[in-house]
Amino acid sequence: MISRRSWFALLASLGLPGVAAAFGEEGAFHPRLFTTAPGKGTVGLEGLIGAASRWAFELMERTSAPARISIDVVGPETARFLLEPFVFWAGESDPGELGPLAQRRLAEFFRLGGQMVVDDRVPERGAFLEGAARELGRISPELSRAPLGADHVLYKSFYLLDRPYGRVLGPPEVEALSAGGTVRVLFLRHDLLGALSRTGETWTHPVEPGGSLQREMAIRFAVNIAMHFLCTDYKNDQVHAPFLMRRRTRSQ
Amino acid sequence: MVELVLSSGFRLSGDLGTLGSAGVVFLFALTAALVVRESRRAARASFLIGFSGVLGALLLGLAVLRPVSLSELREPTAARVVVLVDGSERQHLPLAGGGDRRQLVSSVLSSLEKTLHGSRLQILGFGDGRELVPFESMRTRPPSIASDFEKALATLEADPAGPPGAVVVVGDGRLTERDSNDTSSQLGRTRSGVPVHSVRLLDVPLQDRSLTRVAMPDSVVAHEPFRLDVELGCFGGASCQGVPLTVHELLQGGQKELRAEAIPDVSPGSQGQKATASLRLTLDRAGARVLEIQAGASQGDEVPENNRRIIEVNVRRDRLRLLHVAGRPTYDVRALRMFLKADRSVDLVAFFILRTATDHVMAASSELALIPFPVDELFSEHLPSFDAVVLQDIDALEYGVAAHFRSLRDYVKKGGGIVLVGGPSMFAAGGYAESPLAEVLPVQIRATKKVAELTPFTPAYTRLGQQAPPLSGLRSLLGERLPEAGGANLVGPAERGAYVLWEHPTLPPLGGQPEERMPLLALREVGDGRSIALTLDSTHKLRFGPEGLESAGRAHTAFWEGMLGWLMRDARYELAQARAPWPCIAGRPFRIEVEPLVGNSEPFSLNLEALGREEQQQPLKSFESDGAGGRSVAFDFPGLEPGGYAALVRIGKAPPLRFVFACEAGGDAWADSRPDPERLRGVSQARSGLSVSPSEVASIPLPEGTSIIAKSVSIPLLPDAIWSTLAALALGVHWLLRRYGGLL
Repeated sequence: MISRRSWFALLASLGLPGVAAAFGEEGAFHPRLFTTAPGKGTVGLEGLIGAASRWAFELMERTSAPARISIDVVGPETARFLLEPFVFWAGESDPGELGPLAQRRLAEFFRLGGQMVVDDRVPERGAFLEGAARELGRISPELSRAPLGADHVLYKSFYLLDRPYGRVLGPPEVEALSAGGTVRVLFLRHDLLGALSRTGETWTHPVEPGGSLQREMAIRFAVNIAMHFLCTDYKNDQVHAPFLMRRRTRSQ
Repeated sequence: MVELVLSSGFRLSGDLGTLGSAGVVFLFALTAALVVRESRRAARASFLIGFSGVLGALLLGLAVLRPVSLSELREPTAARVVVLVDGSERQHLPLAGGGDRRQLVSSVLSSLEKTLHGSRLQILGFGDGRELVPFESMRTRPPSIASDFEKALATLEADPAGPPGAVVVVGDGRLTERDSNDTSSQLGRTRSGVPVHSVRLLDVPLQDRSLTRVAMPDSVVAHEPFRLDVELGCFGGASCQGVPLTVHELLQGGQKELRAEAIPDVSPGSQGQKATASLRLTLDRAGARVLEIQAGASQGDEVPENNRRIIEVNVRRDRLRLLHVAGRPTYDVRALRMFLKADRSVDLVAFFILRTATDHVMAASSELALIPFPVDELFSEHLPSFDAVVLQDIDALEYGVAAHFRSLRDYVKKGGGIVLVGGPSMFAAGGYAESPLAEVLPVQIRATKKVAELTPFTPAYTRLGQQAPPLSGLRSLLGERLPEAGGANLVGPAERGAYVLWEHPTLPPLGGQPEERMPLLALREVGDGRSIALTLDSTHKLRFGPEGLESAGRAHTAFWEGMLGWLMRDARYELAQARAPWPCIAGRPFRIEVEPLVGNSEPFSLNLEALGREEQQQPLKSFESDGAGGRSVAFDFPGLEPGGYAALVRIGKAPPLRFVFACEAGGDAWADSRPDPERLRGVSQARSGLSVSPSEVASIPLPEGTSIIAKSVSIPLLPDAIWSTLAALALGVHWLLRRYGGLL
């Protein structure tokens, strides 16, 4: 017998971009890909789309959260950009200066409470992340950029994690643009989607240096990012704090 | 036939006042003295010079004064005697042995009329003493709880009509708003003048046990314990030893609930006449609440009514304590949580189901940041501590919430608020159909195979929704535009007494008529609480979506502010405001005034329900009123039984406004039934009056009468011109003599 959630997932997988989502799926986590190259559609983004879809699949498999595995690619100039509160912006090189329309739309996106993950696919160079951070900082100068501490709710929103993970191990912490304690933009130097990308039945990229364990941790980190986005600081609520503190102590 | 008395006399001036006349006399005297002194220096005829000068000054003064002869016709008049009768609620207290105090007052007034026959008797009633009105009219006026004859005397003294010949006070002497030892305004002992007599209705206390004082903080906060100080008085032989004291809260649609109990401690040195208790109690629901404080009965108690106080407590809420339970994290859950977290006045406790039994977490439990859903703890032990509960897309059967449906139902009936927010696991899909919880929901939930409508549609406002204040914020931002929904939970028609604000544009409710439309957003007032059912999971689009963009994301906040505001009885989201112009006293006329907030021509209706009783099929009283065109409407009650009441006021078909009030026998006026004869005696003694018992009224003396001027005639002694001519002649002669005497 097919479960209700799987039924909605199936509906979602059949869904076409731009078509109204069915009941129960409208609020599903949807890791939309953000692009600043208008008119190119999904050309060159197939790998990322597959990885984002995998992210959504893993989220559904492991948690109660519904997710859309049919991934949209949105640019700031598209009408659909401002219809949902989450986007994922991945790249390899400096994205360059954003146009006035993109700046306006992104500013509006953050004002409405939208959240973005910026993931550098070539973290060794870091050009994309720095370029994206520069542009986002110009758009929303009121947001402050700072590293998130090891006790941030991002590391306990579903799994208990000790650091960020991705295709590369990267730095032990992530940075974020925040407003009033709420993360608006998360900067990753770990190529998270690279760890989730699949080609056929196999993983597209090797994960270094930790191999399959690191890939599993990267998946868990991706799940945590989605849960942090959906539940905000829920796991910081006072009722959860003593319980999680005890569990961490036992684990150590 | 009135006998008139004629009197005649002389007045120095017909038109100048006393001061003017005195001024003229002074000037004359000064002039005369100077003239006499100067005349002594004259070489000859010094006497004539002095005499003519004084005469000239005199005639000049008389020319200015113009003296008159006065004739007055006087009418002898009986003295005005004002009888001040205690018209407060104390007049309804009994007399020793069960006598009727009002009959005794009637008898005293009859005796006074006989005794003071020949005087002009004016019988005025007093309550708190700030206003004196004809005693007879007090029967039809709002009840007066306070009694203060000293303030009444002060008010009488300030009367511009002038002082009466005598005053007679009829009462028991007790000042209800002041301590019996308070002598701060015993004006009678410090002033003199009009005699003040008193008729003491009672000299010995009744056998009575009563709650003489109930004190609590000015501000009571929901969920915060507060102290209730109670003082028990036992008089006329009654004892305060070992008397049980209970405090109940009177709820709408349910039995009264015990909040505290104690045995008051007898105060040392009071000979068992006084006992006090300090109780700590907590009220969880904000707004107007009604407490019943009851002391145990005593045998032979002549005023058993004052063993019980029914008081209204206005409980304010410092923070809204809200439980948010969601079956899975979605954008809709996220948006609602962000709204709740952004509101500093909300104390949020949230539980989200993050993992289902079929999920493959690929990790040991120790690697997960998940805690068990404490469903039993939440919905049993902690439930009363929440002001409202939001259940969002949670399968009640799978997660054990269904086992607590009875608790949730009772929680709502006792004043809690509940919101059900739609989703694939909600309503019929989540085991809510035909459950105990469904009894308090605004929509019928039926067990059905098809649990959700999966075709997208745009919800429509109902006619009521177009006017309902809870949606006014949303309408002001978006008009009647609503975001498209991907579907909705299938539910039945709205429950009786529920209010549908949004409906499906085409789909009828499950089991409903084809012309009906399925409710999507409905509200209901049930018992002491309120409930909301929203069968959509798409309100997050009011933040992110075309409608969210149009309102810069504010539409989502406006919608949920309206919903929670209505749920918590925020006055901003009610259609009208209700007030009582005076406190409710059992058996006395009472009024509720309802004023619509906006111009409204819809008819009003009012149903009155008694608190502390199981849900009533029929209201105690029902009123209907035509539309008032925006003006306030008054609902009059001839007299209610002691108790707590909820008046549900409906304007048109809108959700009702609830007005809660307490009604008690006598109120503060009966709290201390003892008379205070010494106070009456003291005032009468100081004011040269007599203090008598009702049987001694005949000894009150009739004050002397006075007379009034019926007619007054004044005639000038000489015409003005003669006075002037004589003065001119005298002064002319004086001038000639001065020349002759060598003074010029």
